Amino acid sequence: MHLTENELILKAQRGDDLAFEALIYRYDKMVLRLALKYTANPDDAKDIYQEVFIRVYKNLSGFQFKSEFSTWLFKITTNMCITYKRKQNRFNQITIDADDEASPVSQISGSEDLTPEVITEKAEFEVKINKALESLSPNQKMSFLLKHYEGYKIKEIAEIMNCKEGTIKKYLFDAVRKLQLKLVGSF
Amino acid sequence: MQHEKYEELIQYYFYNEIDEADKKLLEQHLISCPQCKTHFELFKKIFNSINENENNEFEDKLLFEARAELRGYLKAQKNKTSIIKVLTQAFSSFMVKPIGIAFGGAVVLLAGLFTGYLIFNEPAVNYSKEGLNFADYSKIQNINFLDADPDDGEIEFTYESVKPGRIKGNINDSRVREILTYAILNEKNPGTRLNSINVINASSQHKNDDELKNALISVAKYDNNPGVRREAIKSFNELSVDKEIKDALIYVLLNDTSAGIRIEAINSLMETSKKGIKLDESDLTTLKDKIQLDQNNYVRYQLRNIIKEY
Ligand SMILES: [Zn+2]
Repeated sequence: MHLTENELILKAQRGDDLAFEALIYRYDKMVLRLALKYTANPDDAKDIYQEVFIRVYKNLSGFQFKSEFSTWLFKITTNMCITYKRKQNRFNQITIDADDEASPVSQISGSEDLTPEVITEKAEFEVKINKALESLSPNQKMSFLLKHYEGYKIKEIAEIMNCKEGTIKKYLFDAVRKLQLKLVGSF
Repeated sequence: MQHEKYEELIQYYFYNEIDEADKKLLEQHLISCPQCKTHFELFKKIFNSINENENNEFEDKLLFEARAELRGYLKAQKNKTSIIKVLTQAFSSFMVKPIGIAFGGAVVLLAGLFTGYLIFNEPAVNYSKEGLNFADYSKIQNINFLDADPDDGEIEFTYESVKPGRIKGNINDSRVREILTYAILNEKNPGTRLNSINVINASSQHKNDDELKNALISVAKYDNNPGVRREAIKSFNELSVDKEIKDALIYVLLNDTSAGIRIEAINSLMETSKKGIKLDESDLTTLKDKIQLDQNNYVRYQLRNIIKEY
């Protein structure tokens, strides 16, 4: 059961579905979380998740170990997010509303020892951040999410998004500026 | 250096991607520049708030759904191929004069199949170029493939109907087992899937049948009917257990939404353990984690029991 990642990839490439699952379950939560942050919509996030891993499944045999598997996976994920076309009938869910019971924002868990006031404050802030994120360009938003939510280094983001580091720095700088403008007075 | 440059450095400072020289410059500048100090505080708030904003419970639920959907999709893809393989093997021995009828998706062929016998009764099949009535499927025999290439998702074969009669297949006949294996995976009616599992368990020659084992593993993990999943898990005890079965049971234990089936999986794990397929360190860690996560008291209780034995 203690297979290395490369062993898992090789097995999965030979059609071993258990290995494929074991492999993707190392990263799929991050993929889903990123898609969820990017779209701010659980159904869209699941769609992206599905498309990402179907693509991974179909293309894994062509993976040649030239990059980390996770980098390859996140390349696919960021691409899918940026090019994702929201399903028509979900259009009215684009903006996240604080009153919307179904939005992930309103479901912030109380599993930690948080007082209701703290939960509300955090929820409100997340609503504001999500709204503010909507104002970013796809590339700015993706850079920001990969940095602030996933903790990637700028160099890694550049590899994932196929850009120069300088470009990512610019995206991040502009993203933060826009967000600050939107969020001033929210603290 | 201008304020804007420091504004950028503030970001790298929090990202921990700043070199020492820049860090010193920034720190000195912040002492004397209220404007950049304000930026610093503002960015700090954004940075820290996001890091605190974890929403695990909701994400876990969503992840569970997403995994189930993906599994369903991949399973459907797999079956497209396995249907053809099994059918080709099962029917390649019947070869009769073809009547040109094309027909895609051979899934319902086995509608007439139960209790270990293949029954082809009554003559006079009404066949047409348009397709077949459901009732006609049980009267088909003499299948001859014209196109058994599954790449385009469609196959083509010819068939012929016969005089009244009945073809009996012994359950120990490998061909019948293959058809039953096929039925376990693909028969639309859950009752028939369940019967097929029961019937095949009555066969004395199935214990080392890999094709069957894989089918049962697949059913235990993915069948959408809880009764069928449970039957598949029980049937593992009839097989020569191995690591693949053990792994499948752990998978069920971790992923099945029905507490009853999770308990069935634990019971089976105890059986496999008695038969010499022990849990390894990594399994035990997984099970210990599961004790923290599972919602069901009895599942947690049984998990503790099984761990105690190691
Ligand atoms: Zn300044």
